[in-house]
Amino acid sequence: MKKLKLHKEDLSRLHKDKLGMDIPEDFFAKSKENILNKVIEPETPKQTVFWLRPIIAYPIAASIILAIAITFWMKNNPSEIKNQMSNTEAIKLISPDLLESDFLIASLMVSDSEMNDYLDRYLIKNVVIEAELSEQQLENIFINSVLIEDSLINHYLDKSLIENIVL
Amino acid sequence: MNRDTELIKKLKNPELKNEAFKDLLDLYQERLYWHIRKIVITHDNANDVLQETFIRIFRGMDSFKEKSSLHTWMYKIAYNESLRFIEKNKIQTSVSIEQDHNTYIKNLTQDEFFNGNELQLKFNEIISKLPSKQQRVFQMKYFDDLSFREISDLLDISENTLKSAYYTAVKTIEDNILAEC
Repeated sequence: MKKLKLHKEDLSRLHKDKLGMDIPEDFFAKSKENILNKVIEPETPKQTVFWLRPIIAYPIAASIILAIAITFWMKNNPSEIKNQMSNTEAIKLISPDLLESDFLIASLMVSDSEMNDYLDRYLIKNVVIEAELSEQQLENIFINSVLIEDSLINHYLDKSLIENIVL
Repeated sequence: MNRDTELIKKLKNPELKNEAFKDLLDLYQERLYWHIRKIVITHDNANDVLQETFIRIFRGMDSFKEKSSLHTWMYKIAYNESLRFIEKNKIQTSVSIEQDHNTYIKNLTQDEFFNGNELQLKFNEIISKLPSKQQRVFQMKYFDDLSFREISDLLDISENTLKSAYYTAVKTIEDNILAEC
């Protein structure tokens, strides 16, 4: 029996000629259509509500999220400051003689307003008051020295005068 | 890149899949139909199995691992679908054992799309009397024009065994036709 090299077009003829098997007219075109209808879903245009369209819906959603985020931030932020202040005060209470470097590190965790308050108080206490004290001391020393000098001069003058007069 | 490789690439691309599937139908629909028709015999049954086969091919394309050729993979689906159809409908069609030969001929002659003459009917009878393995190999080789390698992949039988079965089938058919003349 001779080997046949078949092309697609020869198949129907071969089966009809050799086996007597036939097919309806335009069978393969109709079959193709049926198969495609079963496997490929028709693309129906999606009907969406106007305000649900992405161009509208996305900005609305973003605004809502932003509003919620700001609300939460506003609610949570004062308590955070309160916590930070109480922490700083606690540190001061526990170790009033902390080094400046410790305060610098701690200051990183403290808000600007709190830091300004602290610096004002620190300056008044440690710089202005001490400066005033030291000025007072200098004045006292100066007064004392003047008084001492006066007494010594007087004493010297008295003594030399008596000697001069007497001698 | 050969035709099938390019087709597979398109079939696995969701954007190109539908168009590629139309090309696949153009290329293989007729071949697979005739492959199925010789197993299930009647046109209506072949039409049902053909549709089911292509639905399975479409849905299974993503899981096709390309271990075999696209050609062989599709024939295997068509072959398995045909056997499943026979099992499901409990019809004896293309089995070759002697007692089922009459059922094969009965199904064939009752099909409105069988228009065979006496000689063609005789040819069918001779084929239907072949042992199952010889019948399958002969049909796939002679009518479907598959290579022994492809038939080996389909039926999971060694090529040498298939060649032996094919040449035995050809000899039997020739002897029978000569005996009739």
